[in-house]
Amino acid sequence: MGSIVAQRTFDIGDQRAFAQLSGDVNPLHMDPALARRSQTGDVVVHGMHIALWALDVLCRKSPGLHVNSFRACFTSPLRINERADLKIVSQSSHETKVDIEAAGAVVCELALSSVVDPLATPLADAVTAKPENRDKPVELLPEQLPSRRGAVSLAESDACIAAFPALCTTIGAPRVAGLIGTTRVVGMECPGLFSLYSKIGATFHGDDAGNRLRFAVARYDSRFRCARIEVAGAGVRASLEAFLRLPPIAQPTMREVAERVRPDVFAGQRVLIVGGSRGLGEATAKIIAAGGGVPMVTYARGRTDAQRVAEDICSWGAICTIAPYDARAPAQPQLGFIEAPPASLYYFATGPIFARAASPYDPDALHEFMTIYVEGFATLCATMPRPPSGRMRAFYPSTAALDSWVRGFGEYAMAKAAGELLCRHLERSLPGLSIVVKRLPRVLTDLTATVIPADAETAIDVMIPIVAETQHAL
Amino acid sequence: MDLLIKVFADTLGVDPATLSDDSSPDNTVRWDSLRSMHLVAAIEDAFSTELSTAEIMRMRSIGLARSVLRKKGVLDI
Repeated sequence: MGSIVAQRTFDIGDQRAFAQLSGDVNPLHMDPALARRSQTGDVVVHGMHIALWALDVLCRKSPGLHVNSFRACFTSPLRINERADLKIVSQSSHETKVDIEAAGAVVCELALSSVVDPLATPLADAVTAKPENRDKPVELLPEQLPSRRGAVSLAESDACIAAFPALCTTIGAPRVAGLIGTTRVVGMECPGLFSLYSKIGATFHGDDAGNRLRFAVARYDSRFRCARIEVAGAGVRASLEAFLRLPPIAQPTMREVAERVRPDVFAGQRVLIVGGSRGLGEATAKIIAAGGGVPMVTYARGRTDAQRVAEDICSWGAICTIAPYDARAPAQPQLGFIEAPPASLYYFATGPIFARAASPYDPDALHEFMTIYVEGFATLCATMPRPPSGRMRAFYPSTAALDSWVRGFGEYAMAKAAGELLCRHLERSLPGLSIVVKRLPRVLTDLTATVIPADAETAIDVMIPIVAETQHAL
Repeated sequence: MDLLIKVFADTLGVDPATLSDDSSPDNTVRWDSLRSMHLVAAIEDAFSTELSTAEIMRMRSIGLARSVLRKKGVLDI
């Protein structure tokens, strides 16, 4: 693989600047609270921003470069504050291929060519709609995508030149504006709110004056919720590929959960649920509440989601409290919210669990998982106030990835294996503590909701028997 | 060249000589979930066929993809 020719770290200021330039203010790129409910689990850099940065670098380093067509594939998300390395993969008289990598994994593959690609965009050419300039992304249903078409306004040339000067010199500022406009098409219009921009093939020809980019869906594959979108305008013709991501995974309501839990089975039991604002933690809180128990739900970043869970539980007639808790930080100073010590603890603290499969072992990823799954659990168990009985029951979620190897889950599984050993150690070291450890299957949550179909169980089905077992021993 | 291997090599952007019927997402670096979707589209185009979700889920290696295509009656595989 080629050597690194440029590096860059995109921060939140870069995100805001590119969002202002492009008009793509999709929360996946801008809002940490909403982005955490996506599979990436965090704010990610606009794919087109990465590609344009790389193109600008290449044009600056090779002033005579002829660029008449361009392809990019955004293979993996680049998180903010993560370093991107630009590497030349191959160069010939007519084509340059580069990879942009983060932590050794390719996040964007890019090829620029001097050859004009005879790409036709008849559907986009026929669009006559005026540009939409919405300040929030449209939210579309899958059935709305096949007929989706329209137009977006483009960035001013001066702003494009300021952002990508060498690229503007090489292909012209209007075409750069056209490329920038593709992220607005995907992120704001089509598919909009739950979009994932994955691929572009673009060719540059014609003057095509006008400060707008027309778009039309040419094909929609419902198997993958994937749209191929034609765009045309500003001397750019392009075919885009974008996915309609699954929205955040909603857990059953209290009313629905209550139909599956005996009303008094956990009567009066106080339970601390670390990471209870969604997914498995939310399901657990509702199961406890439905059985007459009193869940205390903590959140790290998802205050709004935790409030939603508590409101659902309380409006049903049960009690639920919420409090902030960061599993990466020391436990003791954060436990002031506990008024009466709980008799049981459920530990669902987590970060994003899909790692890039770049190398067999990523020490930084392992460290991150160990901080949450091992250190965080150990310090919490050691410092949590005990009820008068002195006995406390805990549930530690391990993973079925320990039983069968799953690509990209190596460091996650390693940390969970250490967590299992930790649980045995804690039981022997901390009197009165007993821990239920289960290797959970893939459960459908925000973090596992991939656009490629995968077998997954529901959080409520998985947690009902586990909660029964954990609480039963009290 | 074996057309199926060529389709995989072109889509994954790797040397066809590095691929075999044993190649799978577990041992092929660029074969990630996004590429799996691109592979489906490339296979459908190359062999003028359409794959069901169940068939796609079975194609966990090039050899298994070949098996699926044979069962669908695609010739020259």
